[in-house]
Amino acid sequence: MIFDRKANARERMKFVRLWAEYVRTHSDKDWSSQQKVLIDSMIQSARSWKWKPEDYLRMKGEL
Amino acid sequence: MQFIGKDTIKLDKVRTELDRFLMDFIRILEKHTKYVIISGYISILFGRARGTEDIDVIIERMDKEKFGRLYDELKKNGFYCLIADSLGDAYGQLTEKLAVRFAKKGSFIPNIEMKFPKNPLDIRALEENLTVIMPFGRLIISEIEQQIAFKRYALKSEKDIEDAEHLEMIFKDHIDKEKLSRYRKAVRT
Repeated sequence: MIFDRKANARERMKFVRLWAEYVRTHSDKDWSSQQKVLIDSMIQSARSWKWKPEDYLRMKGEL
Repeated sequence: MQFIGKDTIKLDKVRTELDRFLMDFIRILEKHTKYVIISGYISILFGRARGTEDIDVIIERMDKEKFGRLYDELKKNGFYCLIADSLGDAYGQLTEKLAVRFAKKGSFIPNIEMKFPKNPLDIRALEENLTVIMPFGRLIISEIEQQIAFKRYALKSEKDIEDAEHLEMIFKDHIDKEKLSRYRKAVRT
């Protein structure tokens, strides 16, 4: 299977526009409740990582 | 979202863990210095469907003694500096035009990436900015036009272009096109 980077970027941008339109036309409470699920789960997941701060800084190229 | 005057936005959003972390930090920071939030968190604040591991903050240049008071209060409130073990190291990083990262003890995500202004655009962001008022507090963020220009014409990664697109759509009735054009020229030089 070949990964089509350009097609993927186009699809992503389509979603970005679709979601921005949703945000623009719905209440702050509505869109932010949905966004909260995504952001909070990402942070919860990061908290379970076994990494050390040094590993993270190395990944960022800062160590 | 509602503009209250030219420089203030009221945002009735639900608080995320990322917002909670940031507000804990800002409540301390704003007692010690001027600040402005820049980059990815701004597009997230206005609804972008993505997370981030760090939040970029520019603070006013200050001497070591003043920075020491901020550093001590952050430590007392459960923050630590990821990249430096001491006040001297952290201040040294900042004065060498590098950023320092602060997180809550026992974690490193999310974290605040804090730096002194490095160029005229950073200084301008500290001087001309927007206040966002939310049910859980207020934040100072850089002008939307500056963020769009920086992401679309300087950084230009896929994520940055998407952030710029999002902000352009959200603020399409409020963007000052002349200002955007000035920023576009400034970030390219």
